[in-house]
Amino acid sequence: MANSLGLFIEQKPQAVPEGSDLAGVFAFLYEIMRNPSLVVSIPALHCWTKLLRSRIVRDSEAVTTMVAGLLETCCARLVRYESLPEDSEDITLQFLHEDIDTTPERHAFLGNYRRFCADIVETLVRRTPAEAMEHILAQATSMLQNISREHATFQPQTFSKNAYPVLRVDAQVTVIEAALKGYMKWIQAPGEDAHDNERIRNDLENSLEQWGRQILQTRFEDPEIARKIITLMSSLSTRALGSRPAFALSFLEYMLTIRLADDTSLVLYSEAVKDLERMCSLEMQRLAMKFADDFMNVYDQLEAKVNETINDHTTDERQRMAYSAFLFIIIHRSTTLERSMQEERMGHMLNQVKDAWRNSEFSKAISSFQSFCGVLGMAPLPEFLAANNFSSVQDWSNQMLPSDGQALQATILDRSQHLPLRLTKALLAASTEKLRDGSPAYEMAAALWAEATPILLPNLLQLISHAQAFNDINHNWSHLPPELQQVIKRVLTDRFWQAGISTESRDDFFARVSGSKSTYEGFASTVRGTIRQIRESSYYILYSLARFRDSFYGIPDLPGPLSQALFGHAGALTAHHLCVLLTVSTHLIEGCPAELRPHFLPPMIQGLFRELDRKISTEWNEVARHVAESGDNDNLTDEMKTESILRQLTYSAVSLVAVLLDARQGKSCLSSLCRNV
Amino acid sequence: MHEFILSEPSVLEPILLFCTSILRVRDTRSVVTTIRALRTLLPRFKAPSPIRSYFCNDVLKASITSLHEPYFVDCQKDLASLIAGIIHLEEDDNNSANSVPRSIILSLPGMQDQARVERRLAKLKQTNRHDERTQRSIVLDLLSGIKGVSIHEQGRIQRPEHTKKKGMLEMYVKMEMDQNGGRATGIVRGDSPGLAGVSDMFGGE
Repeated sequence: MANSLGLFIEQKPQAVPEGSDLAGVFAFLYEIMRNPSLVVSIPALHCWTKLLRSRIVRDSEAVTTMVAGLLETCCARLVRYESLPEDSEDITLQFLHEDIDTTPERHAFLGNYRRFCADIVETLVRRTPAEAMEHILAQATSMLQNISREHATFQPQTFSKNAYPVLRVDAQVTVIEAALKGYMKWIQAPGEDAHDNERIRNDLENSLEQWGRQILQTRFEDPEIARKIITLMSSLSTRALGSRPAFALSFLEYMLTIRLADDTSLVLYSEAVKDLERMCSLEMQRLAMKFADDFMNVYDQLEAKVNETINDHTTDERQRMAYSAFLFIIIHRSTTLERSMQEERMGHMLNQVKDAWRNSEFSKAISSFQSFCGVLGMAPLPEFLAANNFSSVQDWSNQMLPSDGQALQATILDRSQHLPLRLTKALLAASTEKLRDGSPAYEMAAALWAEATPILLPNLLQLISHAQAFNDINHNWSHLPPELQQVIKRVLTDRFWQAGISTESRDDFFARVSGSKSTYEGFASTVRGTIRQIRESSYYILYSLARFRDSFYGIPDLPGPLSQALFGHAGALTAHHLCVLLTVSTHLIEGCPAELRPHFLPPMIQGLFRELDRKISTEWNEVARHVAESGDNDNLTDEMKTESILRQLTYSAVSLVAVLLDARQGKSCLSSLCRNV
Repeated sequence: MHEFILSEPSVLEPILLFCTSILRVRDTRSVVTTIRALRTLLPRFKAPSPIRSYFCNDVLKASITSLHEPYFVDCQKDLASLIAGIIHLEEDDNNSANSVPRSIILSLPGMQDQARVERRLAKLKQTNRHDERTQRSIVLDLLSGIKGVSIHEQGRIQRPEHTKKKGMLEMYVKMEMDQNGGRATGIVRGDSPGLAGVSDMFGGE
């Protein structure tokens, strides 16, 4: 009722009779919204998100007095209730468990609740940026100070992603992200007085910068908290403080010096530390794209510092490449460095890529499927699976891997690192991301990659081909005894979590997956994950090279072999993996320059639709057969998952057809989705 | 792009084969989208050609088969429009009495009353091509003996009253699910979650 009443006021303010007690209604809605039961509160909360969009409501005297309270409630309730321990004393949580029965529903509900809260914070900041921001920053400061005081006791042994301090920081970060969003919107459409706006903006930037610097003074020992803080500092630096390179430099320095001691014996903690490192290098790259010239000014110092890290033996391969990519980006995106100097330095880095791909040993090693397995350390796979009796173990997640299995697992992981995919991917991403087609930096990258592309393509196609054929049981594993073929099939079966279908929560799912690393299932996961990673990295490389248009599409003998590599064994992929292949194919097809279509498209379209037709028809027949034969004991969740993935694949394929046959030839359906610019 | 594809049979053919398969797939959204795409092509293939024959034969048969199945009741209007469009394809030929669509329809079970069929076809020919509603209602009438009936209409199960007023709670629980469904995939793979695949690259920003 309250919801309807509120919506009426929002939609038809002029229809509200003169003299109505609006203030009373608002106070009523406000009270409902603050009810400790979120289920009671949500209609009123939802109503407030709409009411606040109306200027008359927003600026009314009655509402002005409630702003502080609204803000406070929303900030307080942005905490992830679903991650709080179930036996918590928190009254809101108790109501929640009483009100909503199933976990997926509870999660969905809370997701909505938080979205509304964030929406209100955003709107209020947009309304009065100076006051609201001041309030929010002050709160955040005192909260973070408390955390870091309590945090003196942080122990890696007891690390948990859902520890109470982490959840509090998470809520706080969400509040500030929402506030920054509101602030950015205000900047785009500020008040009428330009002079006043300038002053407010400058003041706000000052206080945001000051606040940010204060945060950067603190070192957070908990990797999960540190990660959230870095994400926040990144949006602060690249968005709200985009005109303050000095702050970006301080932030960069913070990330360069953050080094938490890893302890691989603590799995969860160690993973979080690695996540944090990855996040840092990614954010460094993002900063470099935005502040290339400012970083160029101190390049020598940066390079020295980065090289120090690269040469540190505790830095892993992935991080080394990310750091190289960081330096590459600064040189590439700088507008002050001389062009010849840029080309020379970038060319030097690209030579590493070329050398790795044209290495004759490498070419030889991937010339056949057998040798490809050997390169990955997977040659002994069938023997290993047979010797350890995988076929007769029911629950792979509960069967611990013996030490030789763990050794094999480590070998596979290590070998896959030696493929040149990662370096190529890192430098391509550095060369293309957030770059407008036709800009000088784009032209320079296109020219440099035009030389490298023909060198890497033959072996890249070979890798794709093998990585897809790996799933083709009939083709490559048919020599094995039938029960071993079944084992291979099971090794290749992914574990999925699907929104709205899976019964466990997403976090529980991930916990289950990462908790089973040293089991039979974990071993299987390493095998299929490695192969999938090869495929998807290769797709990414193709996708990025295609951005250089003619120097990729114009290669004379590319289309046939490319189609063969991509679609030759595509039928063996699952519907989900085929979706990924369809996405990259769609990009390649749509990105083809008009004059090269007769050259490039026929083999691509023929291969793609042949496989889509075959796969989609077979799988739907299978679904129909299942439905016809279904009994009471069937695993409904699995069926729903299969069908839902198949529906997505079908519809994505149909959407491509619609674009290809569309006479109006509007913008492609993907263009809005995937521009990296 | 569309010009290139239509002018290049080696490219158009696999796409058409695929579309024909989709007409038989149990996903209403995909079927309807495919039908719309196919219908835009019809005016281009009025002259005799292998493609036109393909429409008049394979596409027509697939459409009629789906029209016959109860699952496709929600697509019947679209299917009927497509069938109407295909019937028109050969009707300007000199010898339209021998047209393929016509003989396929006559060969269907329950179409022994040839005079009735002829009357409907003649009516279809006379109706304004742009009057989509009349066009498809004639086709649905013509094929009324074949068209599938939903299990609700069969009278066995009462279709529940359209429950518009769902509980408030249900609404708030559901909105999120819809959102997830509409997002890139809503699927998360279990293995090595830290590794960003291409799907993330595309689905991301």
